[in-house]
Amino acid sequence: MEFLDAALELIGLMETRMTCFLEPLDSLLRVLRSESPLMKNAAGDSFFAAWRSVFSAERSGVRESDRRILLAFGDSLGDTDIDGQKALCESARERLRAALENAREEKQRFARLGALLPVFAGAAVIILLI
Amino acid sequence: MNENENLSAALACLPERLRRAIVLLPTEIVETTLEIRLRAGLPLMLCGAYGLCFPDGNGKFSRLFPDKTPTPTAEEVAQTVQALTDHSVYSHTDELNSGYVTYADGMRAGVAGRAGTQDGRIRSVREIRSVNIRIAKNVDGAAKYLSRKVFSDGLKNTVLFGAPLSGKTTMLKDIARILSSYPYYYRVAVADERRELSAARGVNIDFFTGYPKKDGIEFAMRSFSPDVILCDELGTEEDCREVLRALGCGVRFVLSVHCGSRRELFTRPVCRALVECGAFDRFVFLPGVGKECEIFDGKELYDEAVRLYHDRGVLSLVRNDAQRQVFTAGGVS
Repeated sequence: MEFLDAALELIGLMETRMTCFLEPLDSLLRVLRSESPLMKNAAGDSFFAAWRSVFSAERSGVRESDRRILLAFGDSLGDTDIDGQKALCESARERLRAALENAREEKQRFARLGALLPVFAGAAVIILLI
Repeated sequence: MNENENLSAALACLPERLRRAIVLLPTEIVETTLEIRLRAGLPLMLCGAYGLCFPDGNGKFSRLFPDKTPTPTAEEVAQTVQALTDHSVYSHTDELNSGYVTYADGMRAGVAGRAGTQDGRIRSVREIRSVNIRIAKNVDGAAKYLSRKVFSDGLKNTVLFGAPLSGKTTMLKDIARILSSYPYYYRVAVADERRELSAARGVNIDFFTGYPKKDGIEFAMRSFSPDVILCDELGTEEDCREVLRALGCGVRFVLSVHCGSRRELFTRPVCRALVECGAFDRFVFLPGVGKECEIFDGKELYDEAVRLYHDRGVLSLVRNDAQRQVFTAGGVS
C-alpha cells in the first residue's frame, strides 16, 4: 500500500509538471529524481529507460498487475497533447486507486481473520482437551 | 550551434531508414540542404540551394519524380514528430496548434495534420501527415554588407523582405549579433515569438522568446529601454498595429516580412501598412541565398504608395494623415 500511495503521489506530481509547466520528459525526470522516493535511484539516461528500470524490477509487497499499470503508463507518455496526457494520468490514477482500495479491503479482511485466529485456536485446544 | 550541428540535430529526428537515405547522398547535397520534407505515403524530398531532390536510398538522387525514393509511412512521420518534440508532444501543444514545432534550440519544423477546433480556434492537431524540417543556417557575416550599407550612419527602421527560404531569419540573427556587439553595442531586444532567433549571439541583447509579438514588444519597451527591437515574420495586422504603435515611441525596428517582390510590398496589407506609415527608412529585398540584396529607400516607396493609392482614397492599416505624421515624426531619423 505504501508503494501504491507513493505511485499515486508520483503521478500527481507528473501531471502538475506536465500540464502547468509543460515540462518535457527529460527535465521531468530530473524533477522526479529529486522529489519522488520511488524515482530516487532510477537508472538510465532517458525518461523511458529510467521508468522501466524502476517499475520492471520485482519488489517485495508489490503486485505484478500494479507494476504493469505503471509500466504501460510510462510507455504511453509523451505521445499526445496536454489533454491526452491529462487523460492518461487520470486513467492510471483510477486504476491504481482501485488497486489501492482492493489492497485496503484485503488488509482489513486479514486483520479481522488475524483477530479471530486466537479465538479459533483456543476453541480447537478446548475441543481437543474434551 | 554551427551548421553541421544544425544538420546533425535535424537528421537525429528522422527514423533510421530515412536518415540513412539522406546521409548516403553526396556531401555537397547534404550540407546545402535547407529543408527535409516528409509526407506520409509520398516520396521523401529535400530542398536546398540546388532546388529539389529525391534521394533513392542508395546514395543517388533524382530531380524528377522518382520510383525508388523511400516513402515515409504515417508511423515514421509520427516518430519524427515525437523526436522533434523530445518525446514530449504535450510540451509543444501551442506550437503544434500554430503549425510548427521548434526543435534543437531554435530551428523550426512545419507540421500539418488534422486540426480540432473550438470556438474557431485550433485546440489540437492530430494525425500529423506532413513535416517540413528546416535546417537553420547561422552565418556570421551574412549581414555584414547590409549593416555597412544601412546602419553605418545610425540606426534605421528597416524591413527585410523576401520569399520563403530567402534567408530573412539568418540575416536577422546576424543583424542582432552585429548591432548588439562591438562597435555599436546598441541595446537590442528580440521579440522572438517562434523561437527561431534565440540562437543569435551578441553582447547587449535580450530575448523575449516565445512571447506573442505584441507582448514581447510591449514588455521590451516597458522594462528594457531598447534602442532597437528585432522581430521575425510580421504576419498579422495585429502585429503590424503593435509595431506602428511602438514606432511612435521612438524605438527603432528591424523586421522581416514574407513578400516575394518590390511590387508585392504594395499589395500585401501588412507590407503596405509598413510602407504607408512612412516611418521605415530602408526596405531590403533578399532575392535568395547567395544573391545580392537590393536596398530601397523608404521615402521613395512611401511617395510611390501615396501616388498609387492615397490620392485615390484607398487607405490601408494607416488610417489617416495625422496618424502618418505621428509615425513619421517618431520614426524617420
